[in-house]
Amino acid sequence: MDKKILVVDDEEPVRDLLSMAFSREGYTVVCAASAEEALEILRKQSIQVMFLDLKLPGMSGLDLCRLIRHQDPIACVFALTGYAFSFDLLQCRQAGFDDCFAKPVRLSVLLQTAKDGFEKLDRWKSTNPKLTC
Amino acid sequence: MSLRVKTFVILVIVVFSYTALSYLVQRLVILPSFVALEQESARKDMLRCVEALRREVQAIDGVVRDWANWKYTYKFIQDRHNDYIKANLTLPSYKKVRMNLIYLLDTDGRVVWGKIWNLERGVSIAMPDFPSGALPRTHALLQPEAGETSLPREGRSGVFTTTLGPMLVDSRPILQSNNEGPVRGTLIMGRFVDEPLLRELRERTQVAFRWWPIQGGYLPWKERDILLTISPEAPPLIRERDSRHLTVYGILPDVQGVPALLLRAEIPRAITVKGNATIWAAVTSTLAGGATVILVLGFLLSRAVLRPIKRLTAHADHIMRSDDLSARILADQEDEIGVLARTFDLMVERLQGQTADLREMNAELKNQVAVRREAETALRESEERFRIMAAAATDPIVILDREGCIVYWNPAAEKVFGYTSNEVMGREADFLVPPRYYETYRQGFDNSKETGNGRVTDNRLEVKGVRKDATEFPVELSVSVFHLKGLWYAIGIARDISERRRAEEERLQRERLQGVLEMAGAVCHELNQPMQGVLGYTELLAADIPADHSLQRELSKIVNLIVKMGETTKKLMSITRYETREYAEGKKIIDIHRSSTTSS
Repeated sequence: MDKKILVVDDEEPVRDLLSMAFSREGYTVVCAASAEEALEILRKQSIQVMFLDLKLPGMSGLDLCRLIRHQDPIACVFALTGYAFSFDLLQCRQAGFDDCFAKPVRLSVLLQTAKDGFEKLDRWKSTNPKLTC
Repeated sequence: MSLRVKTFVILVIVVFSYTALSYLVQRLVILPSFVALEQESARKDMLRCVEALRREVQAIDGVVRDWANWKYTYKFIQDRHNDYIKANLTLPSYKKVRMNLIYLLDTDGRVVWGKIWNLERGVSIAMPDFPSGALPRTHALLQPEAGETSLPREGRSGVFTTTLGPMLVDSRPILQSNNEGPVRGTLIMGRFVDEPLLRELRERTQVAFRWWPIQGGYLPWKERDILLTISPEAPPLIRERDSRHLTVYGILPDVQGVPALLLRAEIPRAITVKGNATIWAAVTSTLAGGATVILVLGFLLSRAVLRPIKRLTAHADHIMRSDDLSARILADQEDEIGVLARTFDLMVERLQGQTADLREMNAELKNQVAVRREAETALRESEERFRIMAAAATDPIVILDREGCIVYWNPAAEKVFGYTSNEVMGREADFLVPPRYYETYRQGFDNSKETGNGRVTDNRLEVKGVRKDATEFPVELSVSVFHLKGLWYAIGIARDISERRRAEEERLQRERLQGVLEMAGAVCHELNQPMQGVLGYTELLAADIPADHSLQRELSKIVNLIVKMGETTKKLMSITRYETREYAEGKKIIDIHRSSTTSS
């Protein structure tokens, strides 16, 4: 099964960069420019590792995370923000983010984060057969 | 007690006192003289009784004298002729002269004739006192007088107590008719003191008396002690038997002068009884007179004095109870009571006028008092309000007098300046400003004092104050001037504006910081996105070329620089304070490192 990563960011260069970086590592990357688009994608397919920009047009990244967390408690959702001043770590954790990264962040950090996320999911699924994707 | 009752009581007391006095006078002065009179009369009665007996004896003596000086008697002693006996010494002869005893003795005492008769029964009696043979020389009736050697020349007379009872006896020497001697013998005649004689004597004396012979044990026991206090020479003895009778005792001696008969008479106390009756009559009449006087005087007093006074009293009482000062008594009497009543009316009339005036004045005063009280209450409330307000005020309130001395210092002033009210009262207030402003303060105060107004009055200005601990602090001072009872005062409200200053400063800082933050946020956002791209693509590029490629070093430097740039933007995002640093030529820039939380 493909390891899918959802990238939600309103800036196209960032989407392209992350898409390229994760694709090189063998992940399937799905991109969305807004929260609404992301929800649409998630309705159609199961993606359990996500990088969300906090500042999005329309619904904010925090609200999006809350919705996702509500539907999928075990998904690994990471925040990626270029405007960290107005969203601090506590807010992010309360909204359901597993971790929070301020731009600019090194790709190696994100790749490691994605890798850890998938390992964690695998471990959970292997010990809990009920968790199916 | 009403006047009427008082008058009545006084009159009754006077009447009774007078009656009692009159009674006492009569009882103590008049009655004793009555008693004395009565006793005198009783004595006289008794003396009359005694005298009656004596007279009886004298009567006997008269008979005895006739017979003893009679020639036939003289002759009879010698010849003892029977004719004399037949003519003179028979029972009828005894009865004629009313003698019980006739004894004729010769000079030797031998009895020539001697016989004793009970005249009522007509029987002859024998008595040992008069034997029929001869009378002893020692016989009481034959006892010679002192100096006499033979038979007594004069007769003897008196009471003689015989065994049969007392007897009135008389003896005389028998002489010739011409009263010449020689003495042939002695003639003795005697009459028993018997009931008929007593009856006769009682009738004659009009005194109911009794008698007892003293000798011979005839005397009743209760009369015996009388003998101890009575004597023939003394006046009759009087004893009060009871309230209505006096007992008077007299005594009669016998021929030898020895007490022989005790006479006792019960004399009715007619004088005392009459005297008592008179006293009671006097008392009764006095009382009756007094009662009449009380009635008449009471009636007259009642009409003339008491009734008008009662009317006046009732009138006064009515006025007192009803407060009806319009009532008048309208008396028409001409006496003092009338004058009193009219004067009273006049007084009440004046009182009425004065009362009306007083009422009016009182109402006015009450009104004034109410107004004043209201004013006082208002003043008190106002003072209370001021006190509460001044005490509750958070700003120091200080009142200075004309001399600049503190006369009021509120709790907030204590708190802000640090001085207690006691410490500053009466002190000149210049110590509240920093020494460098002393001159300015004095000038300003003097100006205000002169004009009653000044630069500071009714304006707010910011000055410096000094606390007790010598620290200065900004004060917003507002001063007003007011006059109280002609004196000038300045009231100053010195608001401590240190806090306000600090808050303003903070607000300014906050506003600046806000600006910086907003700017920083915008910069971060705008820079971070492209930096992310540059960093990402550089990393991708480095991954695409061999690890030992000469470009790797430059790429690594690019990555490091971008990471450093990223750290800077992160600091920008964590700015919390507004800190600046000198940049160049007096210009200031924000010191990002010092302003961010991470570097502080």
